Amino acid sequence: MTAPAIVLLLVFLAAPIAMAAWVSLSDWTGIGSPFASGVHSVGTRSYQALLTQPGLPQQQLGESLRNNLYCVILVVPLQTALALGLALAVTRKRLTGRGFFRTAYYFPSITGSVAVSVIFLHIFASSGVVNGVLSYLGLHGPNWFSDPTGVLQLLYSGLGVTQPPAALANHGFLGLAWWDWLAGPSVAMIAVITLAIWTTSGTFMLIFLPAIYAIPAELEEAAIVDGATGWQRFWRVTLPMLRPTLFLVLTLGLIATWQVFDQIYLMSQGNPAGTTLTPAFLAYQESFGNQQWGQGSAIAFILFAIIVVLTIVQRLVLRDRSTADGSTT
Amino acid sequence: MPTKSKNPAGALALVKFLTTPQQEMTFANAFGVIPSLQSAQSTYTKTYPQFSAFVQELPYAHPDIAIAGATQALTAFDSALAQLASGNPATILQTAQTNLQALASGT
Repeated sequence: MTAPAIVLLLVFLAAPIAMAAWVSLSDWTGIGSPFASGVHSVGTRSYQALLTQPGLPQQQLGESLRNNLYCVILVVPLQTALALGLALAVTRKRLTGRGFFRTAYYFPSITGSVAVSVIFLHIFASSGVVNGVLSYLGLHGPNWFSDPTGVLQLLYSGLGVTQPPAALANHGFLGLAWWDWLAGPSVAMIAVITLAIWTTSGTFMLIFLPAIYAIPAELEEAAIVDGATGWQRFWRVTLPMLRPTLFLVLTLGLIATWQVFDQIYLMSQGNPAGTTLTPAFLAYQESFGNQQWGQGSAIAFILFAIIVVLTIVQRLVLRDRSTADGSTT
Repeated sequence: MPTKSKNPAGALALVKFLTTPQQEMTFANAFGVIPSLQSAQSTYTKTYPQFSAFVQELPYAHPDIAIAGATQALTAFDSALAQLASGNPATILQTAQTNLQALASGT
């Protein structure tokens, strides 16, 4: 009875992954079949060009990993916190218009990413809404999508450090100096991060809702009787009961954020000086733009390895450490 | 020429025809483009002596670097140049050198 499902999985999942693995080890030029007789194996040449040899591919991979790392560091905690906050707000005991608020908070997630990206392009344009609001506050907003300055670099120059120390400027990893690794997300990337948080909080709010409804009301009442404040109730009763859902939301958020592509493709194409490049977009650009199919596939597999490792790390960190008799440490 | 074209011999013959000196002079007469063939240049300078200065400076012209993948390296160099005010010129040049060297040596 599971044969049709297995066939579908094989044809649409396992076979393309195996073909991509072959392409990443070959010199296929994108024309014709990758299994044709003219396509030869070149071993790990693509992986070496990306990881060990100094050159543009290595530098761009480094830039894309740095940008996506900051994106994940900012997006995942913020979207989880926002989703949890919205879910708690929508499940309050006394709330009029509960259905309206649920729909309103979920609405950004179901709007197509193309429409949302175009709208955010206009919002973050240099004469757009965001800069207009900042000018009411007396601030001069940056030219969002043309500004490649890293946010942390702005902080460092605010603290007086404008030139990097020699140790950070002369040594690096993956073609980028450590100073560039510590430059933080660029101003353009902040716009993309805002978009990502706004779009995905609704989905994760929806995941938190049944979990919150499943917390027995007696627990809350017992906590109130024991004299716990609202904040204490949240940290010591609600949040531990939500631990499996929290793990799910964090894992899904991590996996999705490491693969951010459509917003980059629609809004900036990696643009101000490669500061909005992400590995998924770089794989697309290398394959379809520069016709380097081996490198594009290799980037995709490197990204896969990163996501798998991080998910395992997260699972270890968040695992349920209960002892044999059921009490938690 | 696309690799799967139905008439590669015909396409090649067209390219050869379009780059004969007579055809290049026809283009020059029709919309003013300077012929690319050196054999057509003496005819061009006789017909259009007012543009002979442009023909004379051709030996000093340097085209873009024609290595596979150089376009991407030069684009990256251009965007690094855009941040020259806050960047280090030596680092920018060294990065461009590394990237183009890797392409030129065929890795």
